[in-house]
Amino acid sequence: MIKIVASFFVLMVMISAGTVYSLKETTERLEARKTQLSAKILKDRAAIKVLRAEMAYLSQPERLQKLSRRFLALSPSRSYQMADNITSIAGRENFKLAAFPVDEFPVLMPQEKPTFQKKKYNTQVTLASYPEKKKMKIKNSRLKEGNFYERISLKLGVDE
Amino acid sequence: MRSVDLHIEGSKSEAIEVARNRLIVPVFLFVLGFSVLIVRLVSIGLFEDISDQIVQVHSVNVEIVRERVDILDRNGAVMATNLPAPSLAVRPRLITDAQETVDKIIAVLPELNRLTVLNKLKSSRHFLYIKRNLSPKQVWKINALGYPGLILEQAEKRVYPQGKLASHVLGYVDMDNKPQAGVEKFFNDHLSNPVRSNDPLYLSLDLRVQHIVRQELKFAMDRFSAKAAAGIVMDVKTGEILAMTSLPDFDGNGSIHPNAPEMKNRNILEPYEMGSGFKTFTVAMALDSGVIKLSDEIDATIPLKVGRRTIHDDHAKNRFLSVPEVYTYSSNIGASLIARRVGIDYQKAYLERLGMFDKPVIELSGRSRPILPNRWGEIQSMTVSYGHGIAVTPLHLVTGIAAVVNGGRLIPATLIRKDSDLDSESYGMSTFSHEDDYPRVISAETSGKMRHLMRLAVQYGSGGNAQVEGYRVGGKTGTAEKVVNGVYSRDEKITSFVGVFPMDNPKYVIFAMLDEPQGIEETFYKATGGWAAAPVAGQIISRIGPMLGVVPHKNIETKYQDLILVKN
Repeated sequence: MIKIVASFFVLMVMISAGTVYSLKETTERLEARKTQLSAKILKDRAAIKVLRAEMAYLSQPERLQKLSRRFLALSPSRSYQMADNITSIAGRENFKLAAFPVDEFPVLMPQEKPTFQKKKYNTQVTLASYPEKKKMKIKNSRLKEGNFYERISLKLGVDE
Repeated sequence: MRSVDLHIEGSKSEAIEVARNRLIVPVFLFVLGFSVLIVRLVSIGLFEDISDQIVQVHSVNVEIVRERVDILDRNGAVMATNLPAPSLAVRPRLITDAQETVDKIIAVLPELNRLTVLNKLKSSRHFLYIKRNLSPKQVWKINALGYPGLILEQAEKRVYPQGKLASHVLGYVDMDNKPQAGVEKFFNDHLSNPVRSNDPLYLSLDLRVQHIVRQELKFAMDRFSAKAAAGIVMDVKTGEILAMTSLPDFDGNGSIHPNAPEMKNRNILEPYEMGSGFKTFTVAMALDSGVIKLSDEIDATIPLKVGRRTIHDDHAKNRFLSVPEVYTYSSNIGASLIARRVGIDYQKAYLERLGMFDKPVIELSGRSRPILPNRWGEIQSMTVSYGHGIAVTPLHLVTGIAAVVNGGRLIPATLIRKDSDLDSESYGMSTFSHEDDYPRVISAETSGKMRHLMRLAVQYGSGGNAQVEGYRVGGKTGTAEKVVNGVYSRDEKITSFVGVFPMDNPKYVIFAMLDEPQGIEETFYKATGGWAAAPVAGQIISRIGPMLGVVPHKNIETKYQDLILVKN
């Protein structure tokens, strides 16, 4: 009897010791991974900051205006294109609403379709085209590998 | 196999029995102890949360780029940010071949002087800087050179991605990232606080509006060959500045000369005589005090002689004018007579309440005091009534006009976005949450009348060029002669327009000013407020109106139209 009990306890002690050891090992590995990850998050955040600055630089209103003039057949919205609720689009007065309108537009909505007059010149929407030689070949294989930060730093040349 | 039971008998058996009995006690104790442990283990494993405090010890958020906090516009577009920009330094003792090294450095950084770099490489010092703030590409190339003597020191650089846009509001920082002007300086406690590195500063500026104002002003400035220009767009209900431009302007990223003319923020730094814009306050104070009714007639038949001076009208009608006509046709004589009826003391008290005697209120440094008359006699009171003899900054005028049209509350201008969820104390802002909390300076009734008068001035008066289809724009033009060597100059003028839209429920005040515009052919060689500044404001309104979601209206009848006898 006592042998069975004793061997049972010995077995339990061994199992629990093994479990504790492996748990500790896993925790340490996770801990290391976590520090690694948080370091990488900080690096990524710094990289995102660079990208955000770049995006702000590229989306300067003046630059966008020039690009839109060149490439888009759109013009700035006019006041007559805007409506704030359904009654102003109705086009007639003295009408009764069947029910209380649901459409209280929080944002101004287009009212009329903007008329776009074709100018004699400058109607062609031209896209910039580079000569074949100058087109850069992006190495896909290289870009696909690596994580987010590596790809960015590869593009920007940020030092590690 | 049979088990054999062995028995020990006699005194020995009794001793073993006693030992066994005694063993039960420690066994019981051990079992108790272990069961406590097991119960606690299970309860921790199942029911208790992982304590965050222990986990976070290793990951205190220390950003890599953290020296200064970002500045964003009201929609979240980046206006100022910090980027990593390492500095190149050298340890001369680790350089073996200075000549070869310098050639390679020059290949990467061609703007450097070869001789200076060579001297640095050969110097006997331990550590020398070669160049600050390298770009990522340059950093990569320097690293690729692989010299152990070249060192890249981590550093940060303040970058303004929007370039010249809003440079006067943002200000700039010097080489050591110390703020020197603008919001950068005013909010330095927040911006330089590393703990708040993830808490960007939201300005009230709207980048799109700012761009439109700057573009239109620049266009007008070139068109009329003006020396300078300034413009403001302000929300009348909250005091938020949506755009503030002063031309010429500078680029915070480039080299900066603190005393150059482009560093001046004309909106707060330079007091100007505002001209007819001031008649708004004169008429408002007269209506408020009750000495004048709208239908009163004022004698503007002949120029007014006061002491040695004669007051003329620029657009003389040479007849009796009603109060709306005085305002609409911008009669200096009429305004002077109204001021005389109001009285000097009331006028002074009124202008003081509107903040015209103090520095303008805004979160910027370098605000200047208005220039007031030395002695406030009858003639001074009269000239002040039409905006001469008193010089205020454009921001004074805009804040005052906002108070006149918004129902009579003086709301100080602010550059910080006002949110319902914003905790205003952390920005050092006044804690008023609602417009009704601000001090009343004009009665609501007078404010309502003034809206109509301002609309009339655009409909029938000099501000006609500011009319915009779909929006009811109101406003007042102003043309003031500049004082050159103590004398009013005939040719050098300050022309301005201060407008409000939409007039039935004012939302925004627009201010546009041109310094010394020259007349051109299209304007019949005139460069007055109506010809030069009003169209700028009109253009700005027509572009920002749909963008800011201002509801366009079909024309609503303006009141007091019948009081205008002759329509131009």
